[in-house]
Amino acid sequence: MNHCPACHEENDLAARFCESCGTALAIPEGVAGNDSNLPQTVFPNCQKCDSTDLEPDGFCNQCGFRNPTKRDRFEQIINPNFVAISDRGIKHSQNEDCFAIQQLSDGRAVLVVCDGVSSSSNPGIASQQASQTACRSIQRSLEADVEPSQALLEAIAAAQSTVAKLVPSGHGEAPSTTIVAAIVSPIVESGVESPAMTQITLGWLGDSRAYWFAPEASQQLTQDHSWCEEMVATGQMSREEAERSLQAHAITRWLGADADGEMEPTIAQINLPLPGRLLLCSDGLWNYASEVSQLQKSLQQPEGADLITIARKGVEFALRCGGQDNITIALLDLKESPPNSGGT
Amino acid sequence: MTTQFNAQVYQNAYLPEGSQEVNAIMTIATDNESSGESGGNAPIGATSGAARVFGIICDTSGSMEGEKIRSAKQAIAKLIELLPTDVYFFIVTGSSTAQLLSPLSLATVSAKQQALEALRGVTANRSTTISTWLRLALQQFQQMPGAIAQALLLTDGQNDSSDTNALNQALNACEGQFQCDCRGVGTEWRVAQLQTIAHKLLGTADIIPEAAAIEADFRAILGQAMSKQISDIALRLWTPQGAKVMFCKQVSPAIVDVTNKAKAVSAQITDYPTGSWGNQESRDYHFCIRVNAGNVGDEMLAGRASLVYSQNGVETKVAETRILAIWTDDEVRSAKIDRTVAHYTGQAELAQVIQEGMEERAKGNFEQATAKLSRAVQLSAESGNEATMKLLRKVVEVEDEATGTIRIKRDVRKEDEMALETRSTKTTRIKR
Ligand SMILES: [Zn+2]
Repeated sequence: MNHCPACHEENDLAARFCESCGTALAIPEGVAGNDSNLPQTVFPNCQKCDSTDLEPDGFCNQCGFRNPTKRDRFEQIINPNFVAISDRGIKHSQNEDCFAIQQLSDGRAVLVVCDGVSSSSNPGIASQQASQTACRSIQRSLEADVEPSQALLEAIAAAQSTVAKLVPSGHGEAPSTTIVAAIVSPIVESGVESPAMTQITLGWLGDSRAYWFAPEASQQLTQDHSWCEEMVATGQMSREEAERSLQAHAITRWLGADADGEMEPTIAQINLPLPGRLLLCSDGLWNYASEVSQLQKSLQQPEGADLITIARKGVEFALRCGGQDNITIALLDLKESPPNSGGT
Repeated sequence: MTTQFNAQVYQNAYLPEGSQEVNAIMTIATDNESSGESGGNAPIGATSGAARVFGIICDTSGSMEGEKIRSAKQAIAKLIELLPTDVYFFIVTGSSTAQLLSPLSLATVSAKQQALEALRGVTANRSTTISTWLRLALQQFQQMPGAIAQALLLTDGQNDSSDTNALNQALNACEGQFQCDCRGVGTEWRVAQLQTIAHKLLGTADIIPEAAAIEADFRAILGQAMSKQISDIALRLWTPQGAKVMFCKQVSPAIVDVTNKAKAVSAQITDYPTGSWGNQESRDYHFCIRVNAGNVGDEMLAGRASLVYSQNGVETKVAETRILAIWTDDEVRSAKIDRTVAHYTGQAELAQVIQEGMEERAKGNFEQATAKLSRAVQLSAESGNEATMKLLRKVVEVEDEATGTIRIKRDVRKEDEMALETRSTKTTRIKR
């Protein structure tokens, strides 16, 4: 049994959240993609047979089932207003998503979410390498005073070259992944930071998305590189028609050795009024809330909760909807006034 | 000498919901003959300073008289000459009883001389009771426990029917004590009988149609035997609780079902004997494991396969590989059959349809025989098993390989029938 620390309810061993109060059970203190650490299991006991004889990679020496490891579910809290979480979901045996988030000393924030392409080999490694490489690259560029949009182009190019070097296992397809990266910067006018506006620069390939939630101004900031979006954008089909197609959500651009030269990232920059909440997520979340308002609602509960609780609730929402895919959520709350975005 | 083992597993780990059967091919290669694919296990060395004993067991029953015994004596004389001087050897001749023609001895010049002298006096007479031959060979091997113990057995006829029970008992006693390659010369011996002996003693069985070819065959066997570096290696399989091994088959170089050779080490661990291994040797195994079904999204370790041997009383495990099961609702993934698994499944079917086809043919059921052998022609063509195709063509007229359009030949030489029967289990490797 899995004991809930909040309400003391005894939950099913496989439960990730308390059935009674919804508290996340036995959350690991994983840090995104610290690959020098051996993965460890999230729970001390096998979720199938209760044995404690578990391998570091999660396999149970009694019943053989693989238990969730810190690669399967991990979260990071930079500060109370800047968090991220990634979860394996239910229907995938491994977490092939990854994220990397970073707060720079000058107050700028970097968020990267990658979703490894399941049909490729080692997608989990591709997403991990891509997110880490891109995040490091952005940090270095910004510290060298490179413009955010240029920093994103360079970061995505660096991630591409890293992922392209990964070797497929066996006869599998080349490892590949989507990427969405954001740089959040204060707007400086005449040497003074604007207290009411922020600038978000985005770069992406594939269908991992960025959203902005704010009173009266919530919106999706990215446009998928998917078959459906391309049909609509080129006027070949109406959205309704395109959505009905089996390949509607097939991605048309990605990172990987098999990504051709025409797969250029889209770069976008937008100034937004504060306050607001920036979300970067994989399709494991947005598939269950295609409307912006629906998604926003799923990330507002419970009222007054801290941001990591909200992120966990977002994962829980996707799991309740079926957990068909891995779920990754990166959240940054931006408030008015304090001079540094993503402030404390 | 150091023997390096490399192992690799080929499988499609993805299973549809509710499915419980996991199939995987494990390829094992020693030394630089590894498959070299990424993801293979790091080679681990096994060193051997073990002594070698080579036993020659030769039929001298009355039916051997004439060219067969002359050729056999000639071939054995050649083997004696060729024996490395650091090898121990002995010779058993057998008819209704077994004689120790040359007792266990190091293959020194003088010992060879004595053996050759004794060989000259050998004549053929009386009947065939293989149990007595094997028992006598076993006694010789038992004088050198821990040695790499190998033998070759040559016969030309059926075992005396009164010896059936005694032979089974002798085989049980010899099992695990020494390996034995079996050869039938001429066409009067029984394929199934020799295969039973070879299977029990982890050796090969084959036909030598013409007595003149004995020498070349013996030399090949000796060459193989002398290349062995390490003996008594077991293929170890761990399976999760509640799992059942449906079968474990060697599928290359030939199909040998070793399921019934399983020795339980513990509730979840089973050993299958593989005998001795030489350098530059490779064998492939097919595991079929039935596991408890998981939910979509579950991943399971369905098996851990490794090789195990003892050295100076210390058990060593090498080349461990994993067999996985992942349940998915993605039908595209679960429907794929791994190429290697598919290839060997086809090779196993090939061996089976040949066996069945030849049985039907022997019974005079030509219609059924045609259907089976037609399938066999198709399968050998598909898999590029040219050796088997060549043997098939001696028994059937092939009009079209791809469609398996054939006609059964009515007039077939006995040796061609027997060659097809004994060699139908030989497989080809998949082209990578
Ligand atoms: Zn277990």
